[in-house]
Amino acid sequence: MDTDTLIELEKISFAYINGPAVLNDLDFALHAGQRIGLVAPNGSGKTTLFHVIMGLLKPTAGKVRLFGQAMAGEKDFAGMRHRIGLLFQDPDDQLFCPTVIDDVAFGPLNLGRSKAEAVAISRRMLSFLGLEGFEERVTFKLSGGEKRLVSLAAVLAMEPQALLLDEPTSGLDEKTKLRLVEVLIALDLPCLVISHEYDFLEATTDHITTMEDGRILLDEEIHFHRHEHAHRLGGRPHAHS
Amino acid sequence: MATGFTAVVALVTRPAALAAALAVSLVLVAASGLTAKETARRLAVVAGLMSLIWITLPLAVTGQALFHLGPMAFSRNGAILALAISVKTVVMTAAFLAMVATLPAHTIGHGLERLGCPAKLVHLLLLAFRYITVFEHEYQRLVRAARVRGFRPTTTVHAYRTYAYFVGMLFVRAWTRAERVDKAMRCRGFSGRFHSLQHFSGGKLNWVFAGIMTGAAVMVLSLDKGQAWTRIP
Repeated sequence: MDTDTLIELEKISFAYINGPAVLNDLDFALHAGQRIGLVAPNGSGKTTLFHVIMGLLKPTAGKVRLFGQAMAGEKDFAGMRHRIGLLFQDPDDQLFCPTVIDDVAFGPLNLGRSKAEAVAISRRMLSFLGLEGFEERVTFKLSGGEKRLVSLAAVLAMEPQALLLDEPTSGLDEKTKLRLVEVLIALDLPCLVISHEYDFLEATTDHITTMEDGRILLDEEIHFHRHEHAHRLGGRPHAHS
Repeated sequence: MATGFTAVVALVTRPAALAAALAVSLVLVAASGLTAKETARRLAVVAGLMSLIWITLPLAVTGQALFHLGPMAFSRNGAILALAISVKTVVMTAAFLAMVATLPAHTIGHGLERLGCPAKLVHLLLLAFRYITVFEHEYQRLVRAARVRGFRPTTTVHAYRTYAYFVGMLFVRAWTRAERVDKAMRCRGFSGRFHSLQHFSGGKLNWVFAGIMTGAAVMVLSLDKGQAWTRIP
């Protein structure tokens, strides 16, 4: 197998208890250098897919391989999670420490860094995101945009080799959205981005795909295209027959 | 320190000792920079509870009667006990207000951890502090959602049922929120131990304060001699 495959899913199926199948025989791979956007309707299993990749949900069938290694259980995933940064849909889920610096340093400390190192990494990430001076701010008093950027800083402080972003622009104003675009371009990490905003995906990814019937569609099955739009709703993903 | 002081206050029974303790806690409140208004507002909450004691104790404790109300006798011993409990309560509350409630929650949490408090309790405290506002927001969202659809709190079965839905929804949301937070923590390598960034050192000032407080507690104890104020027969 080739060594630059970061995430590989093979015939993954998943259903919530007493629910219909959310993922159904899904195959997917993220290679080094790839930045993929994922546009799909609500409830099509995008977030579930992310949680399966991270080992937070156990698929009913199929195999997950991360960085070329087969993941058998929680133990395998626990050792691998820091290499993939998952940004949650709701920053309130992610920011659970009282102050910003505590939260950003939480990951590095768990990875066994010393306090001085953890603080240094955290400060570097905060300043990279334009959040200097936020260290002692109380997390629940931040604005929505600030919360989003702080949770991204917390993810980046783990120094991940790939990113999974779950609707990173939801609830952000245009200015913060542009900041996020700049940051993601500057990072240049392989990533899989869930979003409903075509403009955002256009700016941050090289490739857009979608999900249908619990599977990720292959390139040849998709009719997304990029061109200047003059008609209404041109900014949304759509197909021309 | 606050706990130690309140423990001493809880033990003493003589009026002189209680008066001294009251003086100490008033000095603490004054030194903490709390305004009289804030202190009074917080003590008022406790006053509600104490009024219950004032009603029940004189009735429950036997002894020389202060006055009669129909067939009920209000005893002098009961009233003195109630007074003693009230003073103790005010002293303890004021001491905690001045020494603990003025600290940010995360300082309390990390301080407790450093003092050897079980990690699980500290996590509970810190996470409760972090998420209480989130739940407050969720509750407000539920109430707003109901109000924009014409809900008004009345004493009808419909209103009570709606409130029951609110409580149910809050529990469900709290549960799913907890699951998501747990996932987020695992994604960042959490394995059951919080690592604290803060360093607390026993600075000179801290030791001086600890000395003064120990002195105050010893003084209160030493005044607790002689005839007991009251004794339950």
